[in-house]
Amino acid sequence: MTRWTLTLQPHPFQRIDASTLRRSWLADKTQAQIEKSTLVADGMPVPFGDLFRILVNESETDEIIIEGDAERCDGLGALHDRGVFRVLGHVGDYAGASLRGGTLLIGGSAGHFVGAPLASRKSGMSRATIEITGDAGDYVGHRMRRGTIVIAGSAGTHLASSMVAGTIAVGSDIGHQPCIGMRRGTVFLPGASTASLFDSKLTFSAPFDYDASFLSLYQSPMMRRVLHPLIDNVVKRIRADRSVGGQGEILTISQQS
Amino acid sequence: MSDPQESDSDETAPLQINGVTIEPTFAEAFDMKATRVIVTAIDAYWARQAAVAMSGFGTSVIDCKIEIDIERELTADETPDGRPGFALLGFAMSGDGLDKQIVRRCGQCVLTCPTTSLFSGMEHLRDQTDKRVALGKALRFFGDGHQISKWIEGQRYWRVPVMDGEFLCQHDAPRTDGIGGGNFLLVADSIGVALQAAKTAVDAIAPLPRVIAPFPGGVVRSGSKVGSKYKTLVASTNDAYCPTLRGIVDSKLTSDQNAVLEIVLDGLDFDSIATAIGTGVHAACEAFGQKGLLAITAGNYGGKLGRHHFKLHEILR
Repeated sequence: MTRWTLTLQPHPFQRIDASTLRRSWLADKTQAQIEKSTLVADGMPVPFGDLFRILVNESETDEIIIEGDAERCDGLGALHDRGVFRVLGHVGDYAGASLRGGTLLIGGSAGHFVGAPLASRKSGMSRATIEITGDAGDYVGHRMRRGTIVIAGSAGTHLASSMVAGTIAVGSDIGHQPCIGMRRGTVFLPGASTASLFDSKLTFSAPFDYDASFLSLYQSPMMRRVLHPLIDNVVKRIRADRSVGGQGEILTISQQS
Repeated sequence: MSDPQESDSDETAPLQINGVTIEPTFAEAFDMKATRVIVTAIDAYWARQAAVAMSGFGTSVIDCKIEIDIERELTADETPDGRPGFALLGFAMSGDGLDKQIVRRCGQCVLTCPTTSLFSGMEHLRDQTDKRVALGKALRFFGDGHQISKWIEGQRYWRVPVMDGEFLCQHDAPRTDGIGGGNFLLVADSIGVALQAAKTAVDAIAPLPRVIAPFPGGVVRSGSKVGSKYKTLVASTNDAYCPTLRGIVDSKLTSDQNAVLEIVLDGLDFDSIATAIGTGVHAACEAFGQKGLLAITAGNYGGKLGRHHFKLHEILR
């Protein structure tokens, strides 16, 4: 197994398309070949070695570590298939897009379209786990098919839009229009102010009390931390999105509790 | 495993425990397929109701097609969902047979019981074998399309809507090899002593892990031999140990041996059954030796049917 530590160098670009940077792409190349390969930055091909300093080590598991400010890098962890993809800081849009396996750990905030379809693909992430210690932008889990996204902070608008299945947990507030077109899946919203987003909208069922006994099965420390308010309060369950015959569920807490 | 002929010839010194004669013989047991499931509920009462129902009519593979019983009660901190529960061990002659029986019993006895959840109790084997027994994989269809699949910590669970809320159920459980039919017989001067000695032995075995005694109260009175005068029967009464047949068959009972009870043991490995035999026999002999318990023996078929031979003298000496 291999650990690739990629340190982002100072650069003049506004956006870097890092969606090709993935384990399977790195694994069949030598360090020299990786450095000579190109990424697209602001529409231009740029040598990988000009953007990242590369360190390759043996490891017990396949692991990719991104160091430096990657806020302008889009598509980090896209199509990742196994092992750990760890970003030590913020990331741009499309983090974990069409993710297929393994774990994507983001030690900061993420942009829009976390776990959404990559480019023209139809499906968002189809397996794996994404953990974000900060906030996330709009369209988190758009067309997500399977897997788990945990966001310790807040999420933007259109959370879980057209979600097919899977699990999303958001520790704090979310933006408007969540769960539109949601077919299946679970969205945990322990943030006390989120329940009102679903009031008086006929596409969602009325909230009702619910015994979520399966919450105790989650063992990951971050998920347990995010879910903690649900475990200690009366859980309200909302079914969504009825306008598309959806069987999805939103688990939140009542505003009185 | 050992050769029974060699076993008999090696038994030279007589063995007694607290005055109880240990016969120089062996119990003959068979290869089986096994799994463990965990049933939890809102409290121990309801978990027990499900576990007792699920293990009902599960005494012998001959007609029940499965031998199943409660292995032990679990505290809340020993179960996957943090609720009280019971671990059950099930044994069958084939993997398919085990799968069918587990699904039927879980469907009729656990799914139906208020507040229960169902989990695999063999998670330590999940990465070592691809043999599985279906749980939620089959039971989910009861949800009629409203069931919800959840991948949690790398495992698939099903949440099936039922009238008290949701039935939470793991997708499947690993299956492993087991051994069925370990046994010993308690020979006493009266049924009263035989019953008390058997109960003492079963109580001593009950806390042991990886082994069950699937018959009623852990005890069998109708020990069997292979075959019958009736062609349709594969087994019939063990006439050599029936006290009422002394004088008309080749009985193995003396004139003062008036009652015999058998304890049948299924386990996940040889050592678990051997330990259970040793524990049960010692407990019975210590309590009822010189008080009417006269001998300990074991059931076998000449060593020709089962490849696992539990030699009493080796285990108890």
